[in-house]
Parts: sequence; C-alpha cells; structure tokens
Amino acid sequence: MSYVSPENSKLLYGTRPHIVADGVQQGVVKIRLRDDNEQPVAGRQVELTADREDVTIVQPGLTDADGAALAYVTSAVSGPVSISGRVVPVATP
Amino acid sequence: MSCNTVNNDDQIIEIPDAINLNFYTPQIEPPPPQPDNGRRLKLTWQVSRYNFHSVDGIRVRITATDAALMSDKVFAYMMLPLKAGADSKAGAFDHVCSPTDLEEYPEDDPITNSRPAWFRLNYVDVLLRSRAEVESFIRDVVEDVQRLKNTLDLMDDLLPGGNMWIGLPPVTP
Repeated sequence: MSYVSPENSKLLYGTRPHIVADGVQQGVVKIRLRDDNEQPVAGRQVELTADREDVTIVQPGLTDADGAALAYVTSAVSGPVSISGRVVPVATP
Repeated sequence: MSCNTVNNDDQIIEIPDAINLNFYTPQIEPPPPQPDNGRRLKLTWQVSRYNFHSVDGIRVRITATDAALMSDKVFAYMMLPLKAGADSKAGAFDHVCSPTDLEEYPEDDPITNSRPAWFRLNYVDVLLRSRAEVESFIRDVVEDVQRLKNTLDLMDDLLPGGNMWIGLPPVTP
C-alpha cells in the first residue's frame, strides 16, 4: 500500500497556460500523485479550487495507474487564476 | 531511500504548489485572405550553363510578368557609381520590394537627384558563384515575392484599430 507524498505530488500544465477567456476553451491541469518512493498512487480523488469565482473547473476522476488525472478549467473573464489542489481523504466504511 | 510508512489516507493532503493559468481576450483576428482574390504574378527564371571544372560563375535572370492587382516591377534597384568618384552609374539589385517600396520607388529609373536613387524593375539579373548560390537565390526571391503578395492581400482589409477625439468631444444632450 502506498500513500500520497505531498512533496512528490504535483499539479502540472496539461496545455499551455494562456487560454482564451470565452468560457469554451479549456485549460488542462494534470494531477500527478506520487508516494515517498516516487511511485504513482492510483485510485485517489483530487479536488481543485481556483482563487476566482468566475472559473469553472471540471474536477478530475480518480488517478489512474500512472497516478495521473486531468481536470479542465474554463472562464469567460480575463485575468490570471491560481489553481490549487488537495487530495480527498479515502472514505472509511 | 525513504520508506512509505505513514498512512495519510484519512487526511486532506494539500498539494503544495499551485499552478497559474492566464485567461485572455484575444485581439481581433484578421480575416483570412480570400483563397483567390485575383492578385497574382508570374516569376520565370533562366540560368546559364554551368560546368564545375571549367565555368567560374552562373548567371541567373528572374523575370516577373503577368501581374494582376499589383505591379510586376517588384525588384528594387539602387543607382551606384561604376567606380569611386565616377559620374557614370549603373543600377544594382538590392532587394524584393515591400508594399511601401512599391508606393515610393519609381518604375524604371530613379527620380532625378534623389538620394538614395531607388527605382524598380521587373527583372533581376545577377552573377553567382555556384549552383548552391543559385538555388538559394531563387528560393529567397520566390519567398520574398510570395511574402509581398501575402502582405498586399492582408492590406486589402482594414480592421478597427481605435479612435480618439482631438479636442473636446461634442456634448450629447
């Protein structure tokens, strides 16, 4: 069993960071979860948040075997936006 | 190598580094040029015989003809003295014209006493040293004339650029 290492896990650009603010074109954020040994962590849910309310985020699915998942970000308002991520706790029965 | 012994599955784990995206409103995109707006020009080139062992140079002549919606005199020349201090001068090819050059440079001969003495012709006739130079020269000329034609096409369409009042704007009732 491997556990998520915050230090080794990252948010990455899935596309170029400059996106047309038309509410249609999407910026892609790639989530990469790793454990302490830099091994991928699969099956975890990551939740992304933006520092602006006008930004729409299609949240990623569970991380795959490579520890990766994709999220999609759109906005109709120009300007910079910061995207943060956190790994959701595993639900306990 | 570190061991992975801490179970943090029941905790919210913040991913430390946020990433920054930039949403922008693009400038007005210029409309693509029409597939065929009728503007055209025909370039024909002629090359002298060349033998690697016995010939020291190659003459190349490129002629522009059959122009439509643009001048065929697209080659810019400058009058230069044949030798320092001499009165007699000859035209020397300098470059393929830009749209501005087409407007400013006279055809066939320079304006009397103009400095520099630019003018335009519909051909270029040069001596080059090797086949490689010939190929490079022809390619450059064709690309430059293509660029000139594309630029003229773009200049057919004016896009809104801005406006401002000089003086106070009129008062609206």
